[in-house]
Amino acid sequence: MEKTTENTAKRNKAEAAMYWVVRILAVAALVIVFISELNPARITTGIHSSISLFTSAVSKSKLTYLLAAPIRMGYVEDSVFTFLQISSIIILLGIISVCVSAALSFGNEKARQIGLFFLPSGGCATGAGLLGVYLLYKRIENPQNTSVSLEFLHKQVPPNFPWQFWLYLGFAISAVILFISISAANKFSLRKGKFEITEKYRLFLYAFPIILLTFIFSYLTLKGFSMAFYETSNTGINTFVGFKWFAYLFTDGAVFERFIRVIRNTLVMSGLGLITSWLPVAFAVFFSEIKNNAVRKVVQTLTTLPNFISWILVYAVALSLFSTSGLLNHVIEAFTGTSPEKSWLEINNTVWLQMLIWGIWKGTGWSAIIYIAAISGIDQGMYEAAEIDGAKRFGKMWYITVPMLIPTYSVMLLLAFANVLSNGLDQYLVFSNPKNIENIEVLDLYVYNLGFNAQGNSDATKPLATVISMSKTVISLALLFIANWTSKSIRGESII
Amino acid sequence: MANSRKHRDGGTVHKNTPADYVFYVINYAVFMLFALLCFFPFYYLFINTVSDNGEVFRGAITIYPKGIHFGNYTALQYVANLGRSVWITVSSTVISTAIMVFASAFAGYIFTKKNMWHRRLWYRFTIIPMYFNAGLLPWFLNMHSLGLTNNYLAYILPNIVVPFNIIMVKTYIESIPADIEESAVIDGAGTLKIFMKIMLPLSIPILATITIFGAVNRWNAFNDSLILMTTSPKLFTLQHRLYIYLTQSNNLEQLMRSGIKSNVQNLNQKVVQYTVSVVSTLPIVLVYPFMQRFFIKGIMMGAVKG
Repeated sequence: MEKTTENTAKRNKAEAAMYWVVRILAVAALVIVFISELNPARITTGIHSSISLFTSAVSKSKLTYLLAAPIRMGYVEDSVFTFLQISSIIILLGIISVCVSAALSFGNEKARQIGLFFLPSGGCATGAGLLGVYLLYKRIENPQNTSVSLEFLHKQVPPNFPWQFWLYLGFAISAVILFISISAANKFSLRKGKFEITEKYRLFLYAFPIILLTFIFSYLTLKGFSMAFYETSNTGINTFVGFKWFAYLFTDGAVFERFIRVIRNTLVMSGLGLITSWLPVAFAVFFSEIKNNAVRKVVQTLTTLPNFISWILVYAVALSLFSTSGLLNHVIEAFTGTSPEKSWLEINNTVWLQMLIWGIWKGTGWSAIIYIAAISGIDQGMYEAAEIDGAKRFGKMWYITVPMLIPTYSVMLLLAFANVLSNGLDQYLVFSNPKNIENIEVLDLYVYNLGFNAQGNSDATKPLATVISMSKTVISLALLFIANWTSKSIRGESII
Repeated sequence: MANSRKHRDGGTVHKNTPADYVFYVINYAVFMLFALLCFFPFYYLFINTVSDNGEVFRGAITIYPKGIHFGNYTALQYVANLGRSVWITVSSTVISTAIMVFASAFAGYIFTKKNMWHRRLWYRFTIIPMYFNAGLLPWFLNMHSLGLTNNYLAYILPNIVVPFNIIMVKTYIESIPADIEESAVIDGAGTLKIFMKIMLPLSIPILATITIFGAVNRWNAFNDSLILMTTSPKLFTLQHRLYIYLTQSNNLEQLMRSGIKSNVQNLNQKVVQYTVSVVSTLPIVLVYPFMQRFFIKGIMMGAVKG
């Protein structure tokens, strides 16, 4: 009798361990379907290297967009890719099935047993999809089109047996093997009873879609950093070049010169922002002296409105006021008789000031809200006590209100410090023009111009943009930690 | 009230001195001037769209409209692609905001549950992306490999999880007394039922705030349209369209041609730019004054978190 319990315990332990393998396998599969380097459906190099299995399954147009010409010429049948998409969908469904099984494995015995059936069906579906992929690969290797030579066809649509195929096959086979071993360990009688999953795992499963989305759209993005270490040739082959592009940034004269200018612009803009960061505080302090509620409401509504307007619209406003045919020139014309006939937005040497003023115009009223609220929280007794001591209006403002706002202000200042390299793209993009680009190009705009707007596009532009993005991310994170540490050691509170 | 101010305890009465009056006049004047500066550009754009187009072209409109007509607005229907962009913007704003709010509410609630498996780990995992930004090119590559370039879903899917909103909802739900949930548990309600029947209605104030922020952000969004919609002009958002109208004159020529079709007198570049600008901002300017308290509540909540 004792021996049987011991055996059962041992068996349960083995079963639990195998369930962990299933869960890990499921999550791993769920991750790699989004990784383009691990696409088992890339049966020809004509399929773009940035296509993941997931994309193959959801978008046929992406699958074939480098192959439009060969398909049109009949070098390869369009149906091959329709079937490739179907195969990818089947593989994807198989993986989802295994994931369902893994999710149910967190439940009670009933749930686990139901989940167990999803395991071999998932494995088989993946296997079937892979078989489809294999047959389609064979089709591309031995095309039906006999009107042109095989070599020519292979040149047009180069067959490529993806090694990733084996990875997925391994996954499918492991799923089936796991099913067999778990069933062997399990006394296989479908139990009656309530289907349920333990609360702690159930809550996790509820949160799982959110976690997965976070992973796909935030963490997976970091994969793109690898581009900083590769050189892409015209034929689309990536070679690892180490820190070549990092060195290139500093050794190539023209690039380095532009980079220094960009850094200067970035620091100047952020610096001007830091220098004027007290403006919202002043706004709030004086705003609190307005006692008429109607006036307060009107002023607050109107001054916070610009914050919710896009930078493009701000640019539209700027054009209407300061362009060659804008309001300002018409007003000048009305007074002096001649229009200056120039656009005020194209003056290179005042661009820093212009950007600062637009920033102040857009943000001051909004940033002040937090201070206005802080002021309304100040104990009125302090003002009364100060009044008894003979403090006048400005005395109370300077010796009570302002010091009470310093803690909030210091947090804002530290956050601004952490963001010193991030000016944002929109403002500088919309206001930039060929005449002011020298002084307006900040890091974010520089990365955009390199990556997406490159005139004289060269091999270097995209890796360079990545190098800069990556360094900026790392430095910004470091600054954030420094700011947080400063806040912790001075105020005893963290800001993140 | 006009010239004396009672303190809260009701005792002392403060008489305004002449210096106080000077201060008030200057203070009110400065704030009114700043408010005017903030408002005038919008007003200026608007009066230009309803004035006589010939006068607008000559720059004769400065403070008040002349020859009021609304033909420019009806003429917009002839502007190629504009209607489609409006539709893209409106639909993506509504859909993505609705999903984002529901997801934030649900995630915010689930992350308050202490017995979730490795709750702290997963919560941090979800929140950390708030503090880094991989940059445009890695982002583009990721979206491309997910098949989200030239795809309408690019306006929806990436915006579902917004860490900051999850934090706000979580903080809010944590401030709701725990006995409400406990009594529901005793009555036999499950997690999902508690969420739908209790937590969702109770957190409406915070959800209203994140709705309005989310909607404004979506409405103003233009980076994703600019960078991801490389070959699909039909998916451009309204802001992107406006950007093109403002910066590319060859597009404006097309507008002019369509303007001739519409029988509006003297339709010109400037007027079309102004009118599209007003249309693209109108929802915000109209809605903002009524929703202001939600915005203000939003920034205060954020500040509590720090």
